Amino acid sequence: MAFESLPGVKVVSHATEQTFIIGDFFAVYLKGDEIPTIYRWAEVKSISESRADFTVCLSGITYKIMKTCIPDEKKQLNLRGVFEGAVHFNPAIEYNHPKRILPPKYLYLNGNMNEAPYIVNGVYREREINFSNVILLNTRLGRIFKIVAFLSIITVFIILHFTIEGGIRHNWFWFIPISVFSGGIAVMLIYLICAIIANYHFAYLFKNDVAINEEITFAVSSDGFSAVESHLHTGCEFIPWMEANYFIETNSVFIVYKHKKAVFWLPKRLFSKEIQTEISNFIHARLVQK
Amino acid sequence: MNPIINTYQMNVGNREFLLADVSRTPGVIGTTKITHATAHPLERPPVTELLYVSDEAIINMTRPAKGDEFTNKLIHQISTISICDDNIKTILSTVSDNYFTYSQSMAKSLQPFFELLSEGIYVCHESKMIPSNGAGNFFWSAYTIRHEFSGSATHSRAMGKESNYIPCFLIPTKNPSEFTDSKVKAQREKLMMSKKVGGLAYHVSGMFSALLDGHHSAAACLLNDTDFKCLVIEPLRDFLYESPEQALEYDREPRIIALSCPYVKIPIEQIPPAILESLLLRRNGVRPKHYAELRKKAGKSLRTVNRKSIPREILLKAELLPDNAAVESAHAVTELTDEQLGALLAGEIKYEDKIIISQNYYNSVITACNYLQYEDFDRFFKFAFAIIDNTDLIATHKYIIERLCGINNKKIHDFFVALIERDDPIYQNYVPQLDVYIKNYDKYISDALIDKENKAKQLNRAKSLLGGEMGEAGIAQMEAIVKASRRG
Repeated sequence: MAFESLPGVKVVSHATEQTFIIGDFFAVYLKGDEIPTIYRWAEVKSISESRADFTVCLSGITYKIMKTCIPDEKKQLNLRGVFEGAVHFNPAIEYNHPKRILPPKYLYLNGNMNEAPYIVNGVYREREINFSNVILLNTRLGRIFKIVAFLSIITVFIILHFTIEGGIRHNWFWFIPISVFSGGIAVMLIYLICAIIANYHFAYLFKNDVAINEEITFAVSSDGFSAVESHLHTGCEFIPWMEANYFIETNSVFIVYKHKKAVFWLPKRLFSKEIQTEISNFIHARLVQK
Repeated sequence: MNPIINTYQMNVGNREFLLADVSRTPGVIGTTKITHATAHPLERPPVTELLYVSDEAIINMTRPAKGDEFTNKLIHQISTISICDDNIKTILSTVSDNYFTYSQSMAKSLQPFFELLSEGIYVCHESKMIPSNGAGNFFWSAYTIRHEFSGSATHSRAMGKESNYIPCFLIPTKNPSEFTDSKVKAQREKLMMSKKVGGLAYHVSGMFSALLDGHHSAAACLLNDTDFKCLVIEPLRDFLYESPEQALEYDREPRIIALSCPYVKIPIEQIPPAILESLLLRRNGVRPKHYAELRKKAGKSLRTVNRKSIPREILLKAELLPDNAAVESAHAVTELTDEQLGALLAGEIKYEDKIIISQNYYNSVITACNYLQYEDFDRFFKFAFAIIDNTDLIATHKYIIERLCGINNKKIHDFFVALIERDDPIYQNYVPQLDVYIKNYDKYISDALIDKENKAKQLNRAKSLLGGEMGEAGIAQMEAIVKASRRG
């Protein structure tokens, strides 16, 4: 089980008069019980995380663990780690969670990671994530932007040609800069929309993922990579390189992808220029760069 | 933070023990798993477990790849507890002294030891231990080379998960080169003066416990033919599940019904609620502080400082100790009457319409033999000789002869001599094996005679010097005087 060294979490729900102990087992004390009902993780059908709660479904029974019952954010993250560790060991458990920046913990292997040559602590910054999101959108939609710009140039040119009357009509040479300028404006508008979307995306992540405010320990080694909340970092869990497909390097971050989903964001500013180049080469030796 | 230790005196199924909940401790002594990552979580990689003391990995136990909880482990000693911090050594030696010599209560004696353990729930009891590796070798010198030990699996196939047993075979935590004759003599003197000696053992796997203190006491008890008792500490970390049939009744997955360690299975209803809660909150995968260092040391092997060997007398006595098969059989059989043995000899598996041991005749004979070897040597000899005499039971002869060959005894020697003299073609295949046994036995006897003569000479010399009767203690005293005068 990955993250099997995280301490178990006790959650008391006064509203439902249930007490949960989540660790190597999923135990539930119902009202007045001295002996809990202890479930093995293999009995759990699905776990879902939403902004408000964790829902654990077993055959015939569903338990809701409200996040308000766990006021400490670190404890919430610990609980998430325990759940995701259980999902890693029992892949039959269906696990649903909102989007987040940190890789889900069920992707990690519990092994003996060789001493990570690149290990650093830090927090994610809104600007670098937004900027990277815009760049990623640009990369993804770059061709579409070009087509939109070209089409808007042609369209403006045609509109000018058919709508403008008088002497200027014969001097159509002026239509070209006007069309190009309007094409540029169209692209700028799209870019602006992208930036707003990226900002919204970050705000969405920020609301859903308490981990974004936490100090993160980033590690890159020959075995794999990891980005884990520093208080949960053990140095033994990592995602092997073979789990990832490719990586993208922007001005501010390295982003590693698995099945077209970003799983690992490594901010460059945490390293010196020389180390950044080293890391780039290090990842490049293991993954394809796009 | 100060350690918190809560102890409860309990009795479950006529088994008295002390249940201890240990928390906020630094985790100086414990076991940790070194897992090997696999690409798929359902693959079974080799699992190495280490017994550590502080930052020293002492014992390595490895379950081979694809093995399960019924697979025997490869065990070897990596290091010695003697190079650890002096405080730790002092605590370990005072625990058994306080309990055995000064008759302190178990809870009080173990208090300083609990403060060294890693967080967890422990079952503590006093039990008779067998100072061997479960295969007739004296425990102290049997783990220098890594190999598989029968009975080291987490659960025994023969006994099943439900049965209670004592993890009686020992693994040393001291280097064999630390064996000292004088310390053994001192312990033997204590025994002769009717003082209690014992040790401190920590259960590590299956039938095996690591002896943390009392190595010389174990040797002294073996030489004096007295039981070697230990305070045994067993981490309570396994769970016992209801049977699939029971679960089917309620149409659910099998539920946990008890907490389990070899010595006792505690029904979940009998566990104090506070202990149950802390047990559920604790994770099995918690790693010790020095994990990275321990991992590096895991692959090392024990370095013996000098080539001092364990005395032959001890090694020979260890050969007579019951082995793992005998102990397992003793647990599998509750009683075996002479009538039942007679029925087995007649080729029956049933006596008075009841299956004696098992439906498999070969298995029944072997189990009966092992059981008798553990419980009653005389009946074992009678039964084993009767089986070999019976030419209809030829399938069992090989196993019985191999078991007899492991014991140095005059009765066996005489029986083998008679067997060879019979010149029966049925036994022809075994003649070389019997010849080797007879030769070894004759050598053993002649060596024993020489030892006896030497002792007699020593005694006479002492007598002539002191001019009177004196016992072993006197001889030891004499030797000390002679040594001191030489040094002078």
